Amino acid sequence: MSGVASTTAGPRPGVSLGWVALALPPAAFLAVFFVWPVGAIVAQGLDGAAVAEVVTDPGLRGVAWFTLWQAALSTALTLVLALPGAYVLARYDFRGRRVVRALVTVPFVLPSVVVGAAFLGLLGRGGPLAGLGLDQSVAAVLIAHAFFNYAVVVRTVGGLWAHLDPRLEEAARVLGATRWRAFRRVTLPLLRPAIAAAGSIVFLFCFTSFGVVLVLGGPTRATLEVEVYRQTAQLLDLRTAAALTLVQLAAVVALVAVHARAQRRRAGSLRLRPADEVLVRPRGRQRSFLVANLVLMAALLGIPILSLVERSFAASGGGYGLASWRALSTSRRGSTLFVSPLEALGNSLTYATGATAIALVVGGLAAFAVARHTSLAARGFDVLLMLPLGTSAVTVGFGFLIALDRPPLDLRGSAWLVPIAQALVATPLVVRTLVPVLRSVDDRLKEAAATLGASPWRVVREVELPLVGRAMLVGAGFAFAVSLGEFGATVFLARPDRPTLPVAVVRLLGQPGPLSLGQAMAMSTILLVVTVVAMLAIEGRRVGEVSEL
Amino acid sequence: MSGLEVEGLTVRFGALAAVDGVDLAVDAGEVVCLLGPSGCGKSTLLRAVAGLEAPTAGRIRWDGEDLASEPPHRRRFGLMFQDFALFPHLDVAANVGFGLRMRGLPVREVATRVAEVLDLVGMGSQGHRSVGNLSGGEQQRVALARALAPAPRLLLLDEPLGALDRTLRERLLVELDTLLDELGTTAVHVTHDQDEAFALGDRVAVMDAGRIVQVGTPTELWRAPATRFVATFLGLTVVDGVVRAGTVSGPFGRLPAAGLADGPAGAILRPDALRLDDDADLRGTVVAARFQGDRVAVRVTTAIGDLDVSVDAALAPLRGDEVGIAVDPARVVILPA
Repeated sequence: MSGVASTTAGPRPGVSLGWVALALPPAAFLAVFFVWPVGAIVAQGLDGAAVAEVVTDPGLRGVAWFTLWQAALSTALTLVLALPGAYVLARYDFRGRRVVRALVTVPFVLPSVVVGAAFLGLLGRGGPLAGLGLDQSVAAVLIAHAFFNYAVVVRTVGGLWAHLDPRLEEAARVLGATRWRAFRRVTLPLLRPAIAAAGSIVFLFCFTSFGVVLVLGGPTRATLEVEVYRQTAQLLDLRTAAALTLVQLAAVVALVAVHARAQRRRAGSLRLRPADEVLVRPRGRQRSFLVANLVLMAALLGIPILSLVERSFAASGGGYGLASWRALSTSRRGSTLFVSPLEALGNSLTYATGATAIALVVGGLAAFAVARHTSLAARGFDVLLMLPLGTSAVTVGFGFLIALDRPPLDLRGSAWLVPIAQALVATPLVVRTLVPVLRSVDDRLKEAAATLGASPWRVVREVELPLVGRAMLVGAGFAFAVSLGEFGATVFLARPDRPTLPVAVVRLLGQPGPLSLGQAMAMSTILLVVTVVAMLAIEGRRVGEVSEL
Repeated sequence: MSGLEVEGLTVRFGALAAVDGVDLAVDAGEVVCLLGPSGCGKSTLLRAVAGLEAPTAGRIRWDGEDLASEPPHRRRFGLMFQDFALFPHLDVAANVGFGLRMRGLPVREVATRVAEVLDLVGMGSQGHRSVGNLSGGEQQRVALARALAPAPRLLLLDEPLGALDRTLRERLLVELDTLLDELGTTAVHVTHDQDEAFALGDRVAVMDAGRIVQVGTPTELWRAPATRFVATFLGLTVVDGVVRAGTVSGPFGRLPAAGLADGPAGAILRPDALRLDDDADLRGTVVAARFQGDRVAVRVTTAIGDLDVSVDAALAPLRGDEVGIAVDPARVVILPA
């Protein structure tokens, strides 16, 4: 029996010792920094009386209800706005298509705080669209969510749409179906799993929305996530916070289960075509449709970003100036911000770099483990890896506070706390970027290397790593962008004298005075630019790559 | 003994035995072709020899040494895949030099050997090319060069010509044959094409449903197929008959069948066992003629089915002609049903 041999071949049903060695470090990381802290919250929240109070308290019930319906409406709005856009970007060949596709992705990776600030600048007092009266309205939250998640639909649904065999719809047309019926009867059913997947992700993001609601929702509106933060940070009621977290966690687990089911159906056997074969040059009415969608994208996605930049240059007395930007390098004594905004930028970059490094190591090992096996253990591991993405960041941050503050692991005040929390959110992105690329590496290449004398480790080094090198860079870019903008966990964990940019932005937004607002806009602009640069660097490298993101 | 010995090898995937108790020996310097329809287990057998599939039972030895505990990278066998599996991130030279680097050869020696092997396959001075824009034939040559470069003790070829179009196949087949001959390489070559197997193999092993049905030189197989499956797979016509008291009788007449038990039997009517004879009782119509140099394979539709008859090109009948076919009893092989 040649048991060693089997380790070199492709995905195997069995679980070997080598696989366990590969999966152990990421599993341990998750156990210590995710399962344990979240478990600690669950343990605190599992106080029957506290849960009962939460469930019966009319105020808190209102919060739960608001969380639910704003997420549902946000999802519906996002789908309505983004599905035509997904179609246009998947099917129409026009000049600048690649650039538009890349730009559309930008909002998704923007820090939620920046999105909040942008819409505040746009709709709030003194903003260009203040006349609409949407300041602190639910509509503002919904539009901001649509802005945020437009790319999710374009990526998930458009990704499939771009490869759907157009001959299927043509066949239906030849068989007598009108254009609309062909779409309804053929294309839509084929897309349904992707739409369901996109919808459930968007719903999840909106359900756990924190930064956007905190900044835009006004003092009276709160999602569960925001309420947990208020109960913890402002009211110091850890018991209620834990109970709320538990309610949210239950909802999230249910959502993730629905999403996983949609994903499995999506893996059905579709005849997919290369995207180039599917593209058509739009003409006639198609042209008008294309133009209408491009205008919508520009309005929905472009205006808030531009207005953010514009607000950062607005002078307090009207007109424009550099006052907000000049104030960035000064640290005002007695302000809630103990450091200058530039120092906050430095903190952000340092933390994000550390988080990216951790996410690459942990996510890289995990991706190799997941891609190598198809067993139940490997699939379960895959789901476990995705959980932090679905769990609210506030829960994670709060969990760190109550679990990692005493022996055996006392990390209070450790500089590693923030990067570790950010890495937790970034790791799933690295895994999702790497796994499809690793899976697409032909087994035969590994076998060829083995028969040419490459040991299993050298197969990884000589064949797999070079082939996934670009994907690693893409994953690193994602991890960096997400870590940079992470707010929900960081706000709990960053030491008061070492805030990150998003934390500083929110502190400034909470202060009165036009200079604070202007500074917040300027800092958001910096965060925006850094994130966009990171994303564009990625986009340049992911042409032709397989990815689930 | 020297060379490869496979003994009682079984490879199971769940309930399916892809390879089912196979015995096979390949002498040093010999080229053996594994011939069989797709799904017969020939590729699995090859992969098990390479160490890429774990045997469920049985032994694989090289020069008498059991390979069970040897992982693929320590077997020093070369394997060439049907779709070549060239490394997309490496250029031609780096692909060919891969195995040499794995053996830890110094850079300069790698370069020398790579140039040598590329010359051998007619790809000299093309080492810098990216494998992405090689033609099918060029990929095949590079894949062969890559497998040959580390001078493997055994070369395993898994349908290496299968992905190519017919003209290219035939040309590369001749080249491959010459090359294997010149290098004296020990090789196992998997194919479903009998022409390929007969052209390359010193011996041919015919496989069916995970078992080796017959092993022999091409001539032996052609002369005396051991089973009806082998005969049919080689494209020979098998006609049903009945044996009684040492004689087989059927639509072809009566032929001696000494030593066969009474009962149903099959007679293999090879083209060279048949000749055209206007006086013969077996009659039919010429439906096709395929030229093979100075001879013509004439296909005749008769009451007992289509028969191929080999005829001197100068004497070939025309399509539509009515002909008689005489059977040479000495060249007919009788198989028990």
